Amino acid sequence: VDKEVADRSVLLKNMLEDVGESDKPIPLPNVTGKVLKKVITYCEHHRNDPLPQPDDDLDDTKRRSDDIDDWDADFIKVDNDQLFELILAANYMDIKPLLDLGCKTVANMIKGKTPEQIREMFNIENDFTPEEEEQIRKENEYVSLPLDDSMMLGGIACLLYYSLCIANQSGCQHYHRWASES
Amino acid sequence: MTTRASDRSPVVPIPPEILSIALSFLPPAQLVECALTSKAFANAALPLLWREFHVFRTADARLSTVFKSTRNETYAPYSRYIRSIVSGWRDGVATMKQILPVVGRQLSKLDLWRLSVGVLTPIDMTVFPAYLGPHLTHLDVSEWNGRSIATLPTPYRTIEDQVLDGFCRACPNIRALWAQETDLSPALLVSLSRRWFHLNEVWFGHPNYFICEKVSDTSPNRYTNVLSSGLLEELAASLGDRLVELGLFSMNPGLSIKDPNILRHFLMYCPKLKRLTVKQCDVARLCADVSNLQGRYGTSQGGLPIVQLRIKVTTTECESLCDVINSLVALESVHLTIYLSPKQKPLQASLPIVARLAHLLGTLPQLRAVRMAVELSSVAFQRERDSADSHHDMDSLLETWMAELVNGLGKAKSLEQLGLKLFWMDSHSRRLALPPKALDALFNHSLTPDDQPSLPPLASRLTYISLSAHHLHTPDALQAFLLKFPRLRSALLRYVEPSVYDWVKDECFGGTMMQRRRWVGDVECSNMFGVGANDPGEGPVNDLFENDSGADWGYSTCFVKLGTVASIKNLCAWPL
Repeated sequence: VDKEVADRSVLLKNMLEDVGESDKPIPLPNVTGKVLKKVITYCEHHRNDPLPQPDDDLDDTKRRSDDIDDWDADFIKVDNDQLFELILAANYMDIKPLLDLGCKTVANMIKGKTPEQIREMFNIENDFTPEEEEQIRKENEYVSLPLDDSMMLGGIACLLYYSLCIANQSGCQHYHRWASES
Repeated sequence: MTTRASDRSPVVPIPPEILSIALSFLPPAQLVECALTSKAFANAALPLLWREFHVFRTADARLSTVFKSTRNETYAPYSRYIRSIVSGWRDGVATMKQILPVVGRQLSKLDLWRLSVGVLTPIDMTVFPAYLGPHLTHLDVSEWNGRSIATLPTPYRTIEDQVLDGFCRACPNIRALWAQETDLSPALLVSLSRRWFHLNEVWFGHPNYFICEKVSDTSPNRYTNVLSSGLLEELAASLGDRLVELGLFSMNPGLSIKDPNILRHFLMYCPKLKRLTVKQCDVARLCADVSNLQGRYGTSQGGLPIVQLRIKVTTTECESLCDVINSLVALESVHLTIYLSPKQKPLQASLPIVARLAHLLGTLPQLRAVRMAVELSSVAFQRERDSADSHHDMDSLLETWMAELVNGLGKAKSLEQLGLKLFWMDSHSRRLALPPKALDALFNHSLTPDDQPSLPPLASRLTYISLSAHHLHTPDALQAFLLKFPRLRSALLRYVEPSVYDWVKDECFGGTMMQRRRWVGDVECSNMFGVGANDPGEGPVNDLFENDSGADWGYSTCFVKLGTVASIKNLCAWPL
């Protein structure tokens, strides 16, 4: 594999820097041959892409899962087991774009599904008691409100607050006078 | 043979931090659906849903820019939903007058669980109902740095009942009220405690130490004994039977709780008290109180049910402290600050005290966490240091000191978190770094014959450590040190070089790093209190000390949170 391709993995890049020029193989005990082959395919295709920047994560406009290009979408069309193996390998080898691609794919699989459908899709056991489930539902019901409602509520509260501040201004002045006298 | 669904699930083997990344691409409503799927999904999804907002630079007129700058918080950085606001305890006071308009403009939704504001005015209390709700459980109106604006006493005395009622009705489920150095009058505290039936955690300081540099109307004398034992007793009577946590202390040197009955009046009403923080109190009196109350509220093991004790004592009070600890057999977490006042060689003089305390703590079967801060008398210590024939002598002394400590604490079979700090005060708080051989005590200490032979060295049991050491200043040294703690999940280390920050940030697999500076800098916000990448079922990282880190601000502090155990394994695989 070209060094340029290997450098897509931060793990390999650092190892190569430490080891220097050498023909010795680099062990990757946590990655199977089949998955590694797939990873190399990805890295070869993206060998000229700009490297991800640390601040990228803080830009919430980039936290979307519908921006997968056609090649990537085709590349990631694998069964669930292989998908998760790819994600684990990307995490281990520290290939952030591939990790994001895998995670976005998982997110897309989840999107629009009910809890029951998610459980079914991933073979997950529901380990909640009914009370716990209700508790989570109750604690997060606010999220389900339309945005406009809550923003209107905030706006009204702000207006009310400013009114009270103005109304109370004379009282505050009175208080300050009392404070300085005492 | 049947296979459980979770055994076949392809998602379960995914580490929680990776599941979190996947879920971070989902919109909020879908995150709620995920949270309802399973506990593993809930653990990954819910922290992404709600943000904690910190407002520190309140003196900055451009408050809106402060809100924007909080992007560097790692706590749910993508969320537009706010569950917690922390504000107003650094550069003066932030009121809701400053905060709410910005909140209203910047944020989509507010469903507060925790609110921390320096000042809570009656107007705030009128406006709050629009924002508060049944989910608000923590209200912090403490003020830490003295007041920079003139506000409160008069309005609080004239606060109307209906305002109070409306406020309390808006947030009926308050469990914790923090009111340290606060202007809330004791009478109001009593009123609130009577209205909030779920209140079980109260923190307030002694009003004598109000720092009133800029406010002419609040001379300390006016507040002397406002928190009289009578009022405290009334407060305790109204909520003591449900109180589980009590902080009662003065942080200002030179002032202390003058009324020795205060603690007794409180404790006698608090049979469920589990966590107690007292500083500069009369320890002998506390000991007597604890002993007297044992018969009344004794556990099956014969002591008070207190599991967490934080206390500051002087040298002369250490004997009494030992008696107190002897009485609290259920202790799981101890935070001791010991001020060593001997005029001659305080470090050397501390040896028997430290040995005695460590030995005593080592006998506590349930002790999980010890944090010990030893403050050395500044002049005496510097004289001791200067008079040492060489650095070698001082290093030998520190080695002995550490060996005594580890020999004692090492016998505590449940101990898994250890924080050590030796410091002396001049114009700054200066810490004494431990030499390499002193740290060896953690790895090599041998147990005496009467110990359980199966107890491994302390280092192999610790999940958290906090200390100062100059020699851990390179990545290699730090890595070699960390690898000696096979169970370590997080570490707070001081006196490390900036290069180590980069190493931790770039190379420490799955880990996170935080650099902190003194308050004057712009660095703020951290993931220290946030949700880390935890192993399923192991509880939060650093749980017992999560709020203690504020005491550890330093210009060269490195906090290493090592993610999961799997991350440690990855770390081990990294070539040295």
